[in-house]
Amino acid sequence: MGKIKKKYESGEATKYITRKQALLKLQLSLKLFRKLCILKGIYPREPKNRKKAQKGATDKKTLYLKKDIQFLLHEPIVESMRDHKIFLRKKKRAKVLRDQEALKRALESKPTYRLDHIVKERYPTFIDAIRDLDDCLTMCFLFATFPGLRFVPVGVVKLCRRLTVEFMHYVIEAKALRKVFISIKGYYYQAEVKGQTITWIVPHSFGFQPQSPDDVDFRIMATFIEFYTTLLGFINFRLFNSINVFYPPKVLLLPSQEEDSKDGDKELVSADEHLIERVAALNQHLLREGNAEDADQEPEIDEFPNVDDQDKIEEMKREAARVAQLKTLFSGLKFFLNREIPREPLTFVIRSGGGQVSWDREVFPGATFDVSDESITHQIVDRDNMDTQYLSRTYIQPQWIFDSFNARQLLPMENYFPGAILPPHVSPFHVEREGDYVPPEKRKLFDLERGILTGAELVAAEKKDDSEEEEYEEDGEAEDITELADDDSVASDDDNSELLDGDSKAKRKSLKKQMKVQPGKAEEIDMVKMKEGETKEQYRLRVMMIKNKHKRVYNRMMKSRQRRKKEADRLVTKRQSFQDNSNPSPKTSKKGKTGKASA
Amino acid sequence: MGKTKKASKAHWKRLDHPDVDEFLELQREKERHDFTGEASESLFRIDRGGVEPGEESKGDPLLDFSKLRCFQNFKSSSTVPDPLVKRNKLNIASRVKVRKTKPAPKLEEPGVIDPWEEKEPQKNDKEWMYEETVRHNSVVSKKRKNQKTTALKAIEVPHPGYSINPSYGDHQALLRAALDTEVEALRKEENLKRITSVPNTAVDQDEMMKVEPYVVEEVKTEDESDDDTKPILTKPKSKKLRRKEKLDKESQQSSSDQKKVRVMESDVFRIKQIRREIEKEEADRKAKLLKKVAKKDQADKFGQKKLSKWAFEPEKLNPLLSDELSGRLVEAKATSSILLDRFKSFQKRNILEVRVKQRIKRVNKLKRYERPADKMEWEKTGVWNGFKL
Repeated sequence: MGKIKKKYESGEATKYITRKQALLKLQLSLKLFRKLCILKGIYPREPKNRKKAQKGATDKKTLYLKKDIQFLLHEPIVESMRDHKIFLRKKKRAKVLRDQEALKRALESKPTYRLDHIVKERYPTFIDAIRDLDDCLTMCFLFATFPGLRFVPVGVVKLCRRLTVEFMHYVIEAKALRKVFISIKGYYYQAEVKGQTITWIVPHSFGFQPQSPDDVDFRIMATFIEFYTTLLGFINFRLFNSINVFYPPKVLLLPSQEEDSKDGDKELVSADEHLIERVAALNQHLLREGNAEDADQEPEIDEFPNVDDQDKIEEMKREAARVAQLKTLFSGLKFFLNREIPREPLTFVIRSGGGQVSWDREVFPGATFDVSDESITHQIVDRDNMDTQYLSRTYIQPQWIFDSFNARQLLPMENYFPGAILPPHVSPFHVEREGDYVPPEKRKLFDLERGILTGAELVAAEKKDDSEEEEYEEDGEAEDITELADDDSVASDDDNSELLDGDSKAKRKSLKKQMKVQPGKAEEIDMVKMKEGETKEQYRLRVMMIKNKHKRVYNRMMKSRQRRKKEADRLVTKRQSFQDNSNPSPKTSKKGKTGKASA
Repeated sequence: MGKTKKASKAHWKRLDHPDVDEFLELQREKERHDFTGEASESLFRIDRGGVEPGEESKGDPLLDFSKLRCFQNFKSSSTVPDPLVKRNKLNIASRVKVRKTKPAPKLEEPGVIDPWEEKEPQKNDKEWMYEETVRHNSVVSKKRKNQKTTALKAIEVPHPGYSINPSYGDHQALLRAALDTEVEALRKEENLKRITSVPNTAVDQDEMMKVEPYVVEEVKTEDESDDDTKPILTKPKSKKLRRKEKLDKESQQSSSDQKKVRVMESDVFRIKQIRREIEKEEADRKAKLLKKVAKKDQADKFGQKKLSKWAFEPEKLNPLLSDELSGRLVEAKATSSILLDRFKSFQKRNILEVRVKQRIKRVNKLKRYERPADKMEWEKTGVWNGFKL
C-alpha cells in the first residue's frame, strides 16, 4: 500500500500560521511582534478556506503567511528588540532597588536600532517611496499637532513638525501644489512630486481631542510614526537635493529681522531656535546651492507629430499651460493676513502661487512686512466689521485664495468681499463627466477658465463673424453667426431674425439684383467649422472600425452617456422652471454643450 | 542521624578550648606591643606613587607564566648552562593566547544620508550602512513588492458635501446619505427585535390562579363517535374498491406515459425553440456567474477582509448640519478627528486587524480586608479623642 495522505499536511494548511505560533517561533511578546510587523510591512491574511488553513478549527484566528514569518526571522532588529526588553528589565530593577550605579550603567548602554535598511528594503526605488507618501504625510502632519503623550514623546512631535515644515518648503520651492480643498475634517492638499500625485490632509488647528483607548490604539500609531518619520526624513533629503537646496533648510536672515531678535540687547531665543522659527514661518525662500537661474528653467514639452491621439496631446498641452499659469498666479501680489486667519494654510497656498505674504508681528515670528506697508495689494480678513483704513488694497475673505487656486486664475473679487455671502467652495477633486449636470455657478467657472485658452480664438472668430455680418447685411441677407464649440456669451440670434421678418420685399428686390453676373468672391473657409467637420468624420470612421466584440461595450457606453445627458437636460429644465417661478423676468436659456468636444 | 563524632572537625569547632585561646591571645598581645628590634621600614611603607627602588616593574603578575607549574615543561630541568648563546629562546608569553574581551562596537552616527543614492555600498563604507545591514540586507522579490492589501487609495477623495462652504445640492446629498445609513441601521435593529421577541399575550394572574377541579370522566364506549379524541375508524376496503383503485392507477400511469412519449415525439418539431430556450438559460446562467465573479473581484479588491474575530465597523458619516455650517473659515468646527479616521482607514485597507479591548470581568468578587496592624485606633475602638464615633 502506498503512503497514506493525511489531512492538513499540504496545500493551504501549510501556507498559513496563526499568530500564537508566530509568536512562539519568533520568541517575541505580542506588543513587539505587532511593532515588528508594522515596521516591516507584514500584514495578516484571510485564507480562501478558513477551515483548511486553520487545520480543522472553525474559529476566526489571525493568520499570517508562513513565508512572511520566516522572512521576519532574518531581521536584525528582532535582536535589538529583545535587547531592549532586557534593558527595560535592568532599568526597572535598578530603579526599584534604588541602585544609582546600576541605573547609570543600564542607561549608558541603552540599545538602539535604525530603520534605514527597512526603508530601503520596502522601497527599493525613490519613486516607490513617493507613491506611499500619502499616508506618511497625513500621519506626520497629524502628530505634529499633538502634545506629548505616553507613547508619543515630545521629541517625536517636534521631529514631525520639523519634517512637515521641510516638506512644505519643498512644495513651495518646486511649485508642486495643484489642488486645495477645505473640508470640515481638515485641509486636503494635492501636489505633484516627481510625476506622482500625492494627496494629504492637514488637520485644522484646534486643540488636541483625546480619543478613548477603546477607539484608537495609540501604541500602534506610535509605531507607524516611528517608521514614517524615518521615511519622510530620507525623502526630504533627496527632494531637497533634487532642487539644489541646502538640507537642513536655511534662510537668509534679513537685517530687519536681525534687529528684531536683538531686542534691547537681549537675545530672546538662541540662534538655532531663531533659524528654526524663521524656517517654520514658511515665508522666505531657502538658500540654494549653485545658480538660482538653472532651477527656473523647465523642460519644454516635446512635439510628437506621428502619434495618433492628437486630442490627448492637446489636452496634455492645455493642462501644462494651466499648470504654468498656476505657478505665477499670485506673483507680484502682496498679501497681509489678519489675526483671525489661520496663518499656515494661507501662507502655504499663497507662496505656492508665487505671492508674498506677511502677518502681524505678534502672531508668529517671521513677518516680513507690517500692516502699514503701502505696497500691500490684498488684505485677508474674516470679520464683518472691518474699518477699511487703506484704499490701495482690497479687503477680501480667505476663501478667495483657495477658490482662485483651484480655478487656476484670479476670480472676480466681488463675491468675496468681507460681509458678502460667499459662493460655495467646490471640491476640485470631483471631476464632471461628459453629460453630467453642471450647475450654472460651476459652469461660469468653467467658462472663465476656458476663456484664457480659447480667448484668442474666440476674439478672432468674433471679429471674422462681425466682418461677415457686415458684408451680408448690406445685401439684406441674414446669416447665422457660426456657433463656436463652447461659446455661451455670444449674442443670440434675435437681431438677425428681426431683419428677416422686416424686409421680405426688399429681400426679393435684392435677390433680383443679384441675378446679374458679378465678380466671384472667394469662398471663405470657416476654419473652425471645417475642423469640426473633419473631426466628426474621423470619429464616425473610427466608430465604424470598432471590432464586433468591442462594439457592444461601445454601445453600452454611448447609451449610458445619453442617459446621463437626458438627466442633465431634465435638471436644466427643472432649474429653468424654478428660476422662472422666482424671477418673472425672462432669461434666455443657455443650453450649450458641456465638457470637451464630443469626440 | 546519629550523634556527631567526637573526632570530627565540626565537633572540635564547637568545643571550648580555653588553653588554646589563652595562648593565642598572648601571641596577639606580643605582636601588638612588642616593637623592640623592629625597624619602622619593615613594618610601614610610604606610598609615593612611583616604583620603589627595591621593586622593579614586574609586569602583570597574572601573566607571569614562569611560576606556574603547568608551564614548567617549557623550562629546562638542568642547571647546566646552554653552550649555545644564541639559541631560539622560547617566549612563553607568546605561547599562551590571551583572551581579551572585545570592546563594544562603537555605533557612529552616519549623519544625513540618502538611501536611494545609486552608488554600490562597499563593506568599508561607513557612510550609512553598518556591516550588519550589508550582511543582512535581503533583496525583496518583485512578487512580494507588488503585494498590495487593497486597491483602495490611502487618502480617499472627500465627498463635496464635506466642504466648509458646500453647495446646497452637495450638502443635501451628503445629509441624505448619512440619513440613509442611520435609517438602515435602525431598520435592521427593529427587524431583529421583531423577529426575536415573543408576542406579548398578557396573562391575567387571577385567571392563572383558577384551577379547574379534576373531574373523572366516564369512559365512553366505542359506539359514540362524536368524541374528537377517539380514533376515527373506517370501514375496511372491499375487494371491489381495491381493484377499482388499482385499475385507475394503472390507467393514469399509462396515460401519463403516453403523454410523455407524445411530447417527446413532437419535440422534434420544436428543436429551434428548444435550442433558443437552452441558449437563453445558458446566457442567464453565464450572466449570473459573471455578476458573481465581478462581485467577488470587487470584494477582493476594495472590500474588508475578515482578519480577526470582530467585524470592521466603518466610521459614521457625520456631516455638519445646516445650522451648524457657518461657511467661514474661522468658525469651521471640527466634527471628526483625523486620528480616528486614519486608524479606521488602516483597518479598512486590511493593514491592521480589528481588535477590541478585552475587559476581564471577575468571576468571584474580591474580598478586601485590612490587617489589624494597619488599622487606625479609632477604627478599632470606636472612640476618637474622647468622642464616640
